[in-house]
Amino acid sequence: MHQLYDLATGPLLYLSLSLFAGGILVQGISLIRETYTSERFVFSFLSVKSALLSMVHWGTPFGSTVMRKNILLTVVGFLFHIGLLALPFFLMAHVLLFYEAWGLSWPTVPGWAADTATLFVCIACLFFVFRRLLVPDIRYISTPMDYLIPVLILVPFASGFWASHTLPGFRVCHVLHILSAEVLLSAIPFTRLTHMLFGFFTRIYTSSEFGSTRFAKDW
Amino acid sequence: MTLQQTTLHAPIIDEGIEKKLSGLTPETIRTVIDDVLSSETGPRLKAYLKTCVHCGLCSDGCHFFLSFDRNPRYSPVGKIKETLARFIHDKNRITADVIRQAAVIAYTECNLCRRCVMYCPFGIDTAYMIGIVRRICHRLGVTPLYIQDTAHSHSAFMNQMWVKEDEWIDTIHWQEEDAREEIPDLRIPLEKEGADVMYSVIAPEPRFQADLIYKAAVLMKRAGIDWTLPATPGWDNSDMAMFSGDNEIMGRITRTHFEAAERLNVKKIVMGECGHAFRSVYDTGNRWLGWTFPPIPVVHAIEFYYDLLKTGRIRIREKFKPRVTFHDPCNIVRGKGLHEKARYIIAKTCENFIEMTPNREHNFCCGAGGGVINCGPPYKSKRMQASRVKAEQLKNTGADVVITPCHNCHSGIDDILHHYKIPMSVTFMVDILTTTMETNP
Repeated sequence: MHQLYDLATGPLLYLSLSLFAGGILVQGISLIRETYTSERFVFSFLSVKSALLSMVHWGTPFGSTVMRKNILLTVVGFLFHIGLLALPFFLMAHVLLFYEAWGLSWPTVPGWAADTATLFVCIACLFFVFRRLLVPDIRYISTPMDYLIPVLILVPFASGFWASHTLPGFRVCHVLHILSAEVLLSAIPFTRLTHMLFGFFTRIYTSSEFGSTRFAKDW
Repeated sequence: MTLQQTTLHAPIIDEGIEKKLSGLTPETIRTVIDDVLSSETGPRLKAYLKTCVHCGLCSDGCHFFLSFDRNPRYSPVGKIKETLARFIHDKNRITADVIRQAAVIAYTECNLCRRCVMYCPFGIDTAYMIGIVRRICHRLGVTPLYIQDTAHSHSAFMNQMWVKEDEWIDTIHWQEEDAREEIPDLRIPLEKEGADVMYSVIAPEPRFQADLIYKAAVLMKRAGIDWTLPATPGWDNSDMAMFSGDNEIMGRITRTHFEAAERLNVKKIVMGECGHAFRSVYDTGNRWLGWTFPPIPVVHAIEFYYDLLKTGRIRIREKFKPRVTFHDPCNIVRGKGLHEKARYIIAKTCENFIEMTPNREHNFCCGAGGGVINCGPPYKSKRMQASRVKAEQLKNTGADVVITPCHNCHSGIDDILHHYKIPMSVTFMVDILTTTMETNP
């Protein structure tokens, strides 16, 4: 177990961070480069104002028509993404790690809030899986990877919760937490999780087209 | 209000699609797909495909999906799954049957209306992707018979209805003669170099809606506009090749249109009440030629009428009394944001306006756009089924008249009103304007 822990917090950690950062960088840069060489016209339609306006709408809960039509999904979706992105950085245990490694620290979320948010992320993952299974038009387009991704997210969050509360088997869960988080991090550039990066590119282009060429709202 | 849905019985056999399929091998198909994907698409498509998280939120944006009782096959992402995604992932297993299904989906089950783009959290342009499927089908020679006939007409005559040059000129003279009975000194100027405006129409106008040219002439006369029509190709601004996937012809059409305006040395082009033509001239065809924005100012009829009213060049004598509603055409609303200008014209000309719901950018397509109506009678029943939500939307207004400044919308809505037995008539904006404006401004 100790050897595995050392592996997970040593080489595998650096490997996953490299895969994540390298993958995102390579994908992002190559997309911009390819656009410059083969679809340069894209740049002539870009509008900062339209892109920002659109992102404000899409970044605000119920700021777009589709969000107002899907109230439950909007609430779950927003809270899920906030929890997913904020928890790793603002958990007391994680901030301690940053402090030990680099001497940096910043405010943390209270334990009860962290627990609630973690459980919410886990429930949201299950919600996404069941939504896929139960809504016919979503089931129709779902691939095995679409079911796997929520599980990839669920495992590090559930195991982290388990380990932090020192429930039975918490040592195994702790290692599982680290390993599964590394798998998740590494998977981002190579699965549909890349929407975290490409979503901005597509939104910027579409909103520019809509706002500044077609003079219509896209939300 | 939910209207009764009819069901399809006989399978649709389209000769245009069937003719080429028998000669297609998976190898030929793969070569064409790979060529289109590698040489005609790029990072934009890649980003769309990588970003889609299969959340299904686009479904509610599609009138096909809603009208077919939320059948997953008709959701925007469902259509991509059955077409482009298969082309990309199934490698050498793309048979003629897959192409047949893809052609039917791409040409007849998507109006390229871009409504779903507004329902995607990432702004993924499904219409663009369906356009790529159409391009592949066109390159394989698998296109519906009727729309292909139109594309052939564009290719041979530079207009979509096989109108010969003398027929066009004769029609203009005939309309001028008729209009002079109302306004004795009215002219419909042909080939007037240096005019302020080149007015362009779509070929169905001289073919069977010539009164629209008459009305446009009356409007120009009353407003005192220095205008002209070209006598040569370029008078037709329509572009069905854009929808059949024949980008080369699309480019030729737009170029001919611009060149006619350039030759006549006009200040701007005013396009008649057509949506798809505007999409080609302002957006798709224009870009194919390498322009970011058209080389000559191009305005749609709605912008033109708005300016005439705003500047007082035409004044309204008496407002139109019946209850009217307005159908926002996709290509000038999601394509140019002309919805408020249209409402300004209505406010000036009509007494009783009832807003359709949803409206403006969120309006439902008429079901005819994107070349779907041009795929002809074989698909009419399906088109009517797909227009159920549009029919409900129209009926719920309780209006007597629906105004829509687009030829395709006009035809599509006319079909819907008959099919669903809705007691409403459909009209162009120019009809309202010429009925209500002062004759001596």
